[in-house]
Amino acid sequence: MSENICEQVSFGKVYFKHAEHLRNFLYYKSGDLHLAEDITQDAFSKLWEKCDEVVFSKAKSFLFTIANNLFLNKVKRNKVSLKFIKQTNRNFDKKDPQYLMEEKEFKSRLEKVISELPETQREVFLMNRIDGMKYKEIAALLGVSVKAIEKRMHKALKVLKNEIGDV
Amino acid sequence: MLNEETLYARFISGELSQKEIESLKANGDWDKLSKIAEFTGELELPSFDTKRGFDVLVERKNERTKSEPRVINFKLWLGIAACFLLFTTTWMWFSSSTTNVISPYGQTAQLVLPDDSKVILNAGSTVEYQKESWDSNRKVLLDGEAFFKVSPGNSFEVETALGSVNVLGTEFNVKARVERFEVECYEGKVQVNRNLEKLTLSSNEAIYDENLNVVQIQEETRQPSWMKGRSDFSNYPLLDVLRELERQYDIKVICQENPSFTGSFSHGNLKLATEQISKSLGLNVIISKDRKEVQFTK
Repeated sequence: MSENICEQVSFGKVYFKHAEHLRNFLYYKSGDLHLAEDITQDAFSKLWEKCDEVVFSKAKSFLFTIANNLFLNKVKRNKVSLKFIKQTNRNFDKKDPQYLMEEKEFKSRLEKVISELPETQREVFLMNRIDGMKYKEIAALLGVSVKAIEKRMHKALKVLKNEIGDV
Repeated sequence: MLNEETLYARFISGELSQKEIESLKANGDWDKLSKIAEFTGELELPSFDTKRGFDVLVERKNERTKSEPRVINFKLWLGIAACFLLFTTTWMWFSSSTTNVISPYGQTAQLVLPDDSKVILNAGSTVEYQKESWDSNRKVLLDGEAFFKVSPGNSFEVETALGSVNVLGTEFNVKARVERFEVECYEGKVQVNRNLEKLTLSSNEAIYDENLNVVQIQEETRQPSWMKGRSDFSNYPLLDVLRELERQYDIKVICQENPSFTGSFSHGNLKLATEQISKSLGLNVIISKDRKEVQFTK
């Protein structure tokens, strides 16, 4: 049995489930939050237009493919600079200021090194670390083998380890 | 080595062999990778306002339909009216019913409540809430174990068969399994109600036992262990540990012994997990060929 995603309720389900992951994915690629949100909305618009042709279970990979194409066509590749929020430790006063400074330093170096990773490694790394996706899921969304995803992940970690591992 | 080119990836997913773990530990990479994993696991992006985004999409779609020229006839209108009726009834049915989220054995699940509070379910858990009356009634029924990150607002209640927890905006973990009722509070304050007893936990306090003894947890603990890809136990009956193993790996475990266990097991690698449990207790492990059944023997 397949659910028809033309219906607003089903479409909403797809939207609330995947919109944030898709937006994140596009942010990892572009480093531009507004652009990422625009393309996300455009990809969903496309999905709604084509809702008769896409079944519920295939909606996610359809979205990622469409978004990827929109991104490739629209965007002139720039150097990206990613910013993240780290869950802040609220017991600041109890912490050694030296430690806090080192932590802040570590975070900004991390952001820099991640931003400088090649796009294919960066997206895989962050889809796993931030969106919590398994390699298998990422492989399905990007249309490559799990082994390829693992290799990209390994390379990304290798760079990170060499650049900031001993801080 | 053949798998060298995916080694660090498998460190993250917990799929390393014992030998690989040892070699990583020996050359110091283990600690570096652990730090990177820990730090990057805590990164977040600003949240995406999906409520607004969805409204915009609906609007866009309506406009598009409006602008398309169309020959309207009576039959079509009848059809539209019928669809509309069907749609509103389904919508009402959907919105008035209870929302259930289930994480099956072997998987975790995440959900965002209407007020942006976050719930992450450990394997084999269920939560239930009323979407439509959420703003006036922030109440979640929990069977199993879950981490909550509550947005500030009215009282927020987690009800379980074993007791309930009341909070204002805060972060905490509730474990309500047949064998245990445990609450760990990471931030803010929570009120625990159990068997007519009430007590308040502040940040970095937890209860683990029947007698509701308050225990200090380490300040560094910002999340329950299961969210970091392992399960920790301190003086736990082995059989309760094995129930958790069943939930994490969706397997059946057979064991006649029940010594007390202190330590942890990893998620994501069954063989490693069973070894982590059996080694310290001097037990033998047999994993069935289909990896669906595990036996612990003396």
